[in-house]
Amino acid sequence: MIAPRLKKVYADFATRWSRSLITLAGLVIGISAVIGVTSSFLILKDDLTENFVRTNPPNVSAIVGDLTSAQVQTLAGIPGVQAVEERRVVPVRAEIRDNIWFTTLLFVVEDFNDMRIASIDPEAGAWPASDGEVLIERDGRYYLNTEFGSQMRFRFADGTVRSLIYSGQVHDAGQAPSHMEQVLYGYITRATYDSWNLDGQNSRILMTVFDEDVAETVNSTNTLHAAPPPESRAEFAADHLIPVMDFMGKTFVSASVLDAENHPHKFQMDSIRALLAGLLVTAMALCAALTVNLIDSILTAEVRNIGVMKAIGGRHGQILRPYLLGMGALGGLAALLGLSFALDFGRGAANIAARMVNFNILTETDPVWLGPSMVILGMVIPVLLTWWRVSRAIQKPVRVALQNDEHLQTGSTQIQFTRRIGWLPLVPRMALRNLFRAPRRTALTVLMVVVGIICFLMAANIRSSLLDTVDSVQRTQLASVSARLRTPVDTNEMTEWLTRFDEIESIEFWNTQPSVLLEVGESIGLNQPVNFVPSDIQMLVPDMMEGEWLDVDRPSGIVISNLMHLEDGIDVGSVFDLEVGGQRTSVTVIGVIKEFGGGTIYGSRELASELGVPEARANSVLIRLRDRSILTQTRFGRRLETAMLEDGWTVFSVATNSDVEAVIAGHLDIIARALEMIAAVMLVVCALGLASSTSVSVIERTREIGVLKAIGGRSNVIRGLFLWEAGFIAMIGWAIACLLAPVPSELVSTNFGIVMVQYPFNYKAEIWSAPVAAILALGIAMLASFLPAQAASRHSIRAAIQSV
Amino acid sequence: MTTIIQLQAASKTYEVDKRSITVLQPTNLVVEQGEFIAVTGPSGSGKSTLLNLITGIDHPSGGMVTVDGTNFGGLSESKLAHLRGKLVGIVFQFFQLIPTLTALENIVLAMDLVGVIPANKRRDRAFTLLDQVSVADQANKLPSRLSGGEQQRVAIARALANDPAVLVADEPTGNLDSVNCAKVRDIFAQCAADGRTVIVATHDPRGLDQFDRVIEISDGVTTELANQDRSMPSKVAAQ
Repeated sequence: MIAPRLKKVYADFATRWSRSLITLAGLVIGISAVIGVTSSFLILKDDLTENFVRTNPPNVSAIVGDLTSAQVQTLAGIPGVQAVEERRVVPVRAEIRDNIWFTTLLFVVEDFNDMRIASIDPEAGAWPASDGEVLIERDGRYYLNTEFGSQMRFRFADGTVRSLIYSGQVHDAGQAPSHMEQVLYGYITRATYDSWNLDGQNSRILMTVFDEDVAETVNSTNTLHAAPPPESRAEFAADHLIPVMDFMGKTFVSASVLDAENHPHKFQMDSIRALLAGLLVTAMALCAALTVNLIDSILTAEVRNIGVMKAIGGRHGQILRPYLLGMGALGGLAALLGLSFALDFGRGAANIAARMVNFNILTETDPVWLGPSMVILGMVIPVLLTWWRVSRAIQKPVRVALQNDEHLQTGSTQIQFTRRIGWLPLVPRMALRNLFRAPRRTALTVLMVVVGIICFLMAANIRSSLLDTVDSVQRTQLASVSARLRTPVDTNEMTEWLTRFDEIESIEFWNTQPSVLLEVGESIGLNQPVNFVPSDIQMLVPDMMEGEWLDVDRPSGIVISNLMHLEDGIDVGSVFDLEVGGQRTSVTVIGVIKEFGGGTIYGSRELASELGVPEARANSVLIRLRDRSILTQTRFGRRLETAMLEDGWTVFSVATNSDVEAVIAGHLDIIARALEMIAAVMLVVCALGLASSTSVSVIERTREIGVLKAIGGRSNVIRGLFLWEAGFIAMIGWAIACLLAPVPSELVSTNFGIVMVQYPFNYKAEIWSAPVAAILALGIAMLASFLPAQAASRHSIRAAIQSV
Repeated sequence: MTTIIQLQAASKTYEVDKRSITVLQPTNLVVEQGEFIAVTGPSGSGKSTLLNLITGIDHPSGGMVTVDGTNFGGLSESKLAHLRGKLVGIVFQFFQLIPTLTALENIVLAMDLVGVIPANKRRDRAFTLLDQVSVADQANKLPSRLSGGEQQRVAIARALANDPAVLVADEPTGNLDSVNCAKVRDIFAQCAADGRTVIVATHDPRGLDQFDRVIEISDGVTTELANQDRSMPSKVAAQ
């Protein structure tokens, strides 16, 4: 015969199987969420950086005059330089659909089988590329409507169209994802590039540096490199290119010192991990609250039995141990059931994040301690909670335990409250009063509803904020279509040519030039495009973060974008040298403009003249259409590009406002989706909390239910009592959530924008989210509470009244 | 005869909404081993309170309760529970069986908790007790499958499981029909005849002549009825 105490453990769970099942489900979800999030967090910790570092990213990228292979290799003699490789880039437009051209960068790989810097990995199809073939980076495959072996057309800056065979797919972990940058990356052989005989090409040099101190190698016999070393090895190497090019009789265009340790989109991964950390804390708190409620639901009915066992001679330990055994077993079972799911969930979430930022998960296995931690967590938390709860019950005097009606006591607060709500109908009045009978349980359940609804509201508010941010970007960028030309054109000629298009409302010309912003007297600086714009600018409504817009009275004043201000630390009032096309002049930063995208400098036409940029010629045409719908923009853009090519204009790219929207959405979508996923999980936990709370309420008031039925209460009244209770809890939780949600919503919206893209997002609450959340909360309350309420309404009167 | 239970000025007062309510006035009571005692009185008179003090389920607000020479008030909850299991068998008005254990298992549980009956004899003893109360054929049924009378007889069997010196029953027939009432009374009478001290709280005036003593409680004041006239109250060491 099994000892009755052990038999009781099993029988307690088996007899009340529905409640046991809810408890098991709650424990599985809670523990899985904690372990799953932890797993994702750990996987994502190092993998992005590891992906990036494995490509051996360059420390220096430089544009110099056309070098031979031998000349490139001599650069390895610069002190501190570990390796040098040439990797030219040809900006083109790829035809991804009929007459739809997409911005593309073609990287010229000297030797696919010997890529020592910024390496790429084969994914599918051909490897390496053969002459006349192109390999496309895998993140761009979503834009392609073609298969391996097909011809792809590419249009070059001079208008020439050339074909390459799309033969394979590669992974370039060193690039920002195509879908975020709206750029395709292609990889071709040197022979393919040479066959084109492109004019005016420069060499693009990539260099890596050694770890050891440059000072140790600077004292070489090669006098070419006799210069005092600067602080940074990479800076030294970049600086050294100038005299080397001079010695070789080659042009030095620019050099940039790069961050070779962090992926360009590390900030996004950090923000994802921050979200996961926040989710972990929330999940743990909710898991604890849910576990308390669930264990309460099991142990509430045991208070009387504990009193009985005390009355017939049971001591503290004798009574406690079977409960600990039972809950430990339940927790252990929950952990085992959820272990596989938790780890899969964690890896799945990490994979989604990795796909978003286009890197591979390298962590093959979870930490050894994670699985056992889950089992221990699954057992320890319920055991500890049970210990606390059962010990409290054992402490109760036997007489009180046998009556087990403390929860049914009516306190003075209840009585006073009841008087105030006397105007309510009977059933909701009773339901509302009942909430105060178990204040801790009510508070915990409300807490779960609050968290679930806050997560929902946050997801809605942040999605709304992202859309508003996109709108506000478009409100500042008034041009419907922008055309970039390879070479500047006469503005009068272009204006005349554009008169054929009736759709055009207004036109503006900018001159966009590559520039270098340098500390005064320095030769290496920040490479950024500069837009020389008219003083009466029409196509841009400057959204100034600091300072002021361009001023005709301050011709040497420049305005920088927020990215340069936040990332590069450039402030209003700073004085620099601006170099354009070899001409250099002193400029002062007079304002910071809030603008989405990469770093940009704005300068006046007067400044352009000073730098030798002719005013009557421009290479950017900004067009505002009468009809600014997305469809019209897109169609006009294609027509414009086609017409320009046919008439010999050296068009490089044509972009519409909707393209801008796509770039922004590509960056922000991951955050919105992550928050929506979190909200879904939290709402499930909220539902479990409500179900368990109602279950406990039904158990505690079984006799009361019997009495109600005996004196005339119908089943729908009994059912309605508990549904009203759940409804009130849901509404109280919803109201609190509505009050609290704006704070974290605004915090996440603005700060995530700064962290992710150095662009502070607007905050705009989603108006419909509050009423929808109310409906959601009520719906969840009704669904979660229906079964326990239905069970209550079906109690037999005799059994209920006899229940003690 | 040996004194098995002694109350010395034992009283019980409850605090309800900052008011003190004395449910049992200071009471002196001496119970000898083997006595068969009825405690009578109307509802709310303090019968259950008196029995709760005797069994240690409740602690006196004043005075002292001694069972088999041990002051119950001076013991920790754990020791009290163990001693209670050994010395006092309790039968509740509402049976208070563990609903997820069978009739047999409810009795074995009582022996498991106290440990005075050797483990290898508990099952057989449980069957014997069930047979003595005429419910042996219901041994493997859950309480929900038993009638009220059967449940109460199982509860009595459980109370006798550890062979206690004292058997206390609080309104054991309160929820039973007359036939089962008679059966239960007979069981108690047999227990008393076997030399056990039996104290039964009841408001049923029938069968009071079976008892050696009848103690009447009214408004918390205990009075012992004389044998010749159970309707004539006489004071029991009134304070």
